[in-house]
Amino acid sequence: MSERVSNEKINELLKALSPEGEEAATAYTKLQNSLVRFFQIKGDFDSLEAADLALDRVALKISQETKIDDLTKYAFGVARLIFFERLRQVEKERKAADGFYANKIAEYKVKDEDSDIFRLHRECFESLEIAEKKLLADYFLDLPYPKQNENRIQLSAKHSISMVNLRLKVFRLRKRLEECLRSKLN
Amino acid sequence: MKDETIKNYFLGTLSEAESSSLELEIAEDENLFEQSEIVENELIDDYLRDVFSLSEKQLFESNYLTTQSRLEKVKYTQVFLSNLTKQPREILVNSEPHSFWKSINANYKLYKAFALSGLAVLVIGGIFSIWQIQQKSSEIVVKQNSNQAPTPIVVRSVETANSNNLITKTNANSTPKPSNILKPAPTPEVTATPIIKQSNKPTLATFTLFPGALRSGGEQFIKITPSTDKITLRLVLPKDITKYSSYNATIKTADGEKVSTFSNLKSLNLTLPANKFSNKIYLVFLSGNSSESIAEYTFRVNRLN
Repeated sequence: MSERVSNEKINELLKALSPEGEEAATAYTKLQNSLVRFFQIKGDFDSLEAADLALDRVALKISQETKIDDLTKYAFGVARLIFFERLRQVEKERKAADGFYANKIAEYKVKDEDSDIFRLHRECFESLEIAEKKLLADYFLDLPYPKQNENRIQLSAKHSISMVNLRLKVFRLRKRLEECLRSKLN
Repeated sequence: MKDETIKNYFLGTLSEAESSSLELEIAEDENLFEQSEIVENELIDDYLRDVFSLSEKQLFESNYLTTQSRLEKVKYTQVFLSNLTKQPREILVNSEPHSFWKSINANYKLYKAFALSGLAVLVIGGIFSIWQIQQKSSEIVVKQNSNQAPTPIVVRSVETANSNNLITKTNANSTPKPSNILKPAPTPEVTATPIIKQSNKPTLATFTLFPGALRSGGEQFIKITPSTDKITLRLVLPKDITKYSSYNATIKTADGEKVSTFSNLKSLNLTLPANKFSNKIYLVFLSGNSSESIAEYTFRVNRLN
């Protein structure tokens, strides 16, 4: 992790975002959130740290009295560069670029299902409400591909919700489980 | 935004310009970001379930599986899908598509019980009818309880047939119709193994907030458990600030949405319902009685399951 810029430089960034203190803080956090999402979609492991790094570099640029017309656009440009820098750093450590992670998946596939991660996940699953468990079991019923779609359509009708909302509901449950698992693993 | 476009983004089949523009759109729109996460999850599901064509599989491995974080996602999905198929049978029973034959099979014991009780009623009814004919009694009344199995429970002679709406007047020679007797009551839902519910006793959680802390290094987190009913935010004043006789405070989300406002506060404790908070970043703006800004507090909420 690179060294952080000083608070004075961050204050200059805040002023550049808005002369009003409250508005500046809001704009800063909004930009920070957008950058976090940017790094998340790019698949960066520590998206918050990467977003702060991007904001640090923007703050540094502003402190050098460089004129920036569109701060948001500029920040995303910096973010893109940071992502590639971080990716290159990782690739340096990789023996072979192609198929590196795919091979790793194969390793996970043969992992012992009684290992900690499976056990912890089961604990997280147990913490769900019974209706939530049933919904997940229904949604992920192991069926051949076309039948699985039919099953999900039937399920949305059964729950009287649209497919879009059903997907969202299932996604949020999955996310809760993933967050639970991450917190148990850390 | 079409799911297909997002899918193509993850598989790396969009042009560089298209990808860049999509990334910005997703980063700036929370809903679109959520949609992209859904598509991403579904892609991983399809990959793990071997639904991909060979070319899609190659694209996924070379263009999607490019970071450690994505590898972790695939790993979690694998654990999730694997554990889901190993859940107790009680949960999965209701998961199977409802077919007539399956429901017959699932409720076999129930039907059997109804059939046996119906048969018993027929026998009793028959014996009773014979006895009634012998006695040359004029009427029998069959009472049915609409909430239980539709089997005649009481067979008795009455003097006034209109005394009760539930009493049906029948002819002495008639026996209860099998169709009435064998008709099963509404099928009760199959219940899963009882689960010991966690105590939902409402609790008040108090958190101390320090001014500032926008940065990742010193970020302030608030963890809210499901049983937390109310939250008290205890604000710590910046060092050089003298105390005011009263304060005003506004809580907003990072996107500027107002959550709550407090005026004329005598203490720096803000109490509000826990359900006002979701997994977001929040800001507290504290001002003095003459509206001058005193401090800002930032914290991230983490709702626990």
